[in-house]
Amino acid sequence: MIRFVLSRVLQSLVALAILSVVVFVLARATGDPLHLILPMSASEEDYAYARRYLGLDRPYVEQYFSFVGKAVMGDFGTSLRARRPVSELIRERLPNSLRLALFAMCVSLSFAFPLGVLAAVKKGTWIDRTAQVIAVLGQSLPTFWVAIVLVEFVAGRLQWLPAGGIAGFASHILPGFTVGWVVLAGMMRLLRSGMLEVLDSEYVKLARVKGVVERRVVWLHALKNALIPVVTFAGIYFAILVTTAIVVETVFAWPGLGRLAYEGISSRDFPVIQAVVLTTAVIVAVVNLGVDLLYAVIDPRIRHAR
Amino acid sequence: MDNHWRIGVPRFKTMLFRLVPEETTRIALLRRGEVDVADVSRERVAELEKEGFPVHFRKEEAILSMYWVLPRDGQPTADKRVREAMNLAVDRAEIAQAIFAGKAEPAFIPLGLSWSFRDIGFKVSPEMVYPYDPARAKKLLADAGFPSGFSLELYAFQLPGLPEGKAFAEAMSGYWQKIGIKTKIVPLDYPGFRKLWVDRKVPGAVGYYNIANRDWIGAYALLEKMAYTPSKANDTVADPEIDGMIAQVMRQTDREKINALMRNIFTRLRSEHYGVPVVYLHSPYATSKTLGKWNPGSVMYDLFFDQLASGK
Repeated sequence: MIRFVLSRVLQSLVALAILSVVVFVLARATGDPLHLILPMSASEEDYAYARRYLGLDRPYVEQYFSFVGKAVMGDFGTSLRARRPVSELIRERLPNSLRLALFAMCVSLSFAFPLGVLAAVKKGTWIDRTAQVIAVLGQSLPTFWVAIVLVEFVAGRLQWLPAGGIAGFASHILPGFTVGWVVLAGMMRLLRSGMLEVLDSEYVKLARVKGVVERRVVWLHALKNALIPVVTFAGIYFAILVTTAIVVETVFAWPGLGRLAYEGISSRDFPVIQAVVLTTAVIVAVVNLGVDLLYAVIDPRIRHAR
Repeated sequence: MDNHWRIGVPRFKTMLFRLVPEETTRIALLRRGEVDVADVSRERVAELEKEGFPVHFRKEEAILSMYWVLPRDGQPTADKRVREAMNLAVDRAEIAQAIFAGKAEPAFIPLGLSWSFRDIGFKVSPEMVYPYDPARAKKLLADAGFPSGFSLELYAFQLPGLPEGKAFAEAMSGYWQKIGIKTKIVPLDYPGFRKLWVDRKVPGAVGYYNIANRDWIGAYALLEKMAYTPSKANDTVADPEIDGMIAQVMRQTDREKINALMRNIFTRLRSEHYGVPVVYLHSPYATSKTLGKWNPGSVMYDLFFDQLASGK
């Protein structure tokens, strides 16, 4: 198990190194950030001065190694636009994204599990059909549309909930629902199909024949074996929610990492773009490792094979 | 503070600026009473006014002015008649109504920052007003040697304060197509276009900007960048006479002489058709029903929030 963890960590480090080169090159391929930072009437001399001041006049190789050397120490440089340390911006924004993602996952799991299991157990009934409609809607309605409709009607017209920003528990509901809705739909479908497969298996039939109560058969014996794909899905989506909920964070004015990424890209703020991409990669790597370890907990066969 | 010498006892204790990128969210916050002032797009003004929210306008906050990428040599726009034709082909009143929901006024002076006009005593005379005359525009093109028109690239992008950017570009393309100019719209973000403009990679192509209005000093600073050959990259005019006048303003201390030079610069920009000025944009700010009187003023980047807070 330790060897497995170490090899995964090493793989992640190699991936991060390659990613750092890719993001460095791609960020600079998008164009000169000074066109956005300086006013339209800025002269050539203004551009030259700004380039020297921001270190953008150095050779690319020098800029890259300077960036990497500082990044391993947690220093991602200074934001070209905000003129503040990027690590400070990330420290401010990441907890907000984590909060939103955790809230969304809690909401999704709370509804996906009972609905997914019930849809499988009550296959063909109105419960199953309702669950399928929810799944289809969740996976087909665009997130930006759901977000704007909720803001316009639930917050603006009905005034039931806050429209934007972070201010108490109530402000989590609309953005959390918007991002969690997609996750709920996907998890519910996976759980339903997983449960249907497992409920038809021999060991479940044996448990029933042995007289085990149906509730235990479903929630203890069958559910555990239907969880693997759901855990994978939840892990992948958690990382996505934390790092790339750009649309939702923009619509709800939620000061998270996704919005920081959008602001960085819009203003060609290289240090911010590089830092957000690397932070995202680290989060994805950590979450994937956590999911792999969770497999071993859920399924002893995987634990012993490793 | 308790009592300020200029505004007395402020009506508000704190002023919070919230960054809310999405307009739907800004309007929802206004409806909920969570914000008192929200900048909104021109197309939603009627809806908000119907609900009873006061909407205040910064009149002529920006001029939407189009310009050609230099150099002009070898381009159809080297001929003054072509430049005039491209101006006559545009129905500015229709653009103000259809694209900007009536929240704009036709503009007739290239780079003509109207808030500076009052400082320098400049008035737009009736002769300076471009009529909408596509027939005369076609004749001018034919006289200039382009009876079948010519090809033109028009770069289209959104800008802050100009969500209608691409629709505007499409409208302009339509007007020019009608007089035979085969306009190709190139969608590109502004930074991408700016690089092409200052590097002079696409001579003869057209871009635009909603230039913030300002007083005469600000207008001079802008002209010194965008209408002055020594400024190189940013120049859109390349006129030795205007260069001379701008250089004289720099050395002049007599205010009357400065005003006269500035008036002459604007007059020549218009007479030589160095650009296609289209409209002055009014910027709407919706406020809560309880905020009270507010004049957002006409000073660049100053919304007179201190007056809003005034207890006098």
